[in-house]
Amino acid sequence: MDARFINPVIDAFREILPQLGFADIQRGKLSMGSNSVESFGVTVIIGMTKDLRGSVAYNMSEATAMTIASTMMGGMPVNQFDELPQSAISELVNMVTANSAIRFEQMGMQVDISPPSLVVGNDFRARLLQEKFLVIEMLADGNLIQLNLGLESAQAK
Amino acid sequence: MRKTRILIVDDSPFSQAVLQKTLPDNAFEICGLASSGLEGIQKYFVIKPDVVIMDITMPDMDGLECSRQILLRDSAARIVILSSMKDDTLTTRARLLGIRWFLQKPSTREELVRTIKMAVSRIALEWWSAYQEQLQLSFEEYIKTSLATEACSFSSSTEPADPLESKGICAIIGITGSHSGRVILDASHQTAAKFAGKLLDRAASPDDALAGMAEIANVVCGRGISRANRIAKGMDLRITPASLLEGKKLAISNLPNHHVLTVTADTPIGSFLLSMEMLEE
Repeated sequence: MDARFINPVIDAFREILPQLGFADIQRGKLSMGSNSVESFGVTVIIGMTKDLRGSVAYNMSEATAMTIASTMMGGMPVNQFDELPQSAISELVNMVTANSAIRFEQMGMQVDISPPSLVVGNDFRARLLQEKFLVIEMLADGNLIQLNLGLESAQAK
Repeated sequence: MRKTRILIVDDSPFSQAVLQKTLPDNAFEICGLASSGLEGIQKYFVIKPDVVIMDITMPDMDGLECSRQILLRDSAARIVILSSMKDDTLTTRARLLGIRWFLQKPSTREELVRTIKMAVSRIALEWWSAYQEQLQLSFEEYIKTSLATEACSFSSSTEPADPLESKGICAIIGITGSHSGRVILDASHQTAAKFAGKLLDRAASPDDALAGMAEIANVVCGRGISRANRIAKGMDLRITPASLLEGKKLAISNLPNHHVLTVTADTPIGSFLLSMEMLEE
């Protein structure tokens, strides 16, 4: 896993989240994950292909997902994580990942992204393409979103 | 979801009445009626319907001329011809105008609804057909070949459960390129382990079961999508690597505005579900 993949994703997050109503964006811990991503309750997976292959798993708790969706919808109360807040979260993931893809392209790597798959449940995990992957914690107004980057450049294969 | 708004252009009060009686439901509404070609053109540009159901034989101009005049000013107009007359000359004229949808009266409601749905969709019928048919075929071939048995039955549904509740393990493959979508393969831990065990010819570990699911998804999608790309002109789909999910309780939400087909394979070692989705944009 190449450390060059980190900044475009963080920068995308920093650019998009303020547009969705978040004032304070912080980067938390950066670490290496292995084997699988243990879900916090809501995990959104988005695939990439072309010069970069793999997937990014966005991980958050259901409470966080509801708070984020509420902010995105202008403070509308969200008491249940149903269709509308779910589509808000998918949209957030789509926007951040699409913005990252543009940044990867600026670095000379063409990237196509798939639609995001939003998964809700408990006691489940996601496996990405590689055994080892990058874990980036991001905080939007104190709400933790964990980004798990399982990417490799296609040439490296 | 917003209803699909339909304008009917047909000089027969009987045909108008039949369509008005059979079509409206929670997905469709008739937003206008026109009894001549000229009225059809005028109403089209006032009402701006999602789709037009067009008769051919009308007093002032035929339905194809009426369609031509609409398409001249709005090339994105969606027109379904519904006519008692249907021959090679008429279908060729329609095709030359860019109209793909030509049904002969009497048409069943099911046939009409399916056609309207495809007409308003932004996915061309041949792309969606190639996508789902080739994936389905590749899934059936792969399951039968790798289990070395014909004792499998396959059933399909176009209205699957939302969300998709996993039985234990699922592999998700993203579709990118000229269209976006995804393919999900789902099975229980036991079924996935039995499958992997059969392929490896030994008792399968939980990791083997996961790897086996990724293998099925990769092969089925790789084969199915490359065949679909060859068949459907202008379609160029690519697949992302498989992501795997496994756990006690997990559910995957449906994509918005998508076409979907799920196929369930009932096999001697358990059932596998393949969900194929394609977005409209």
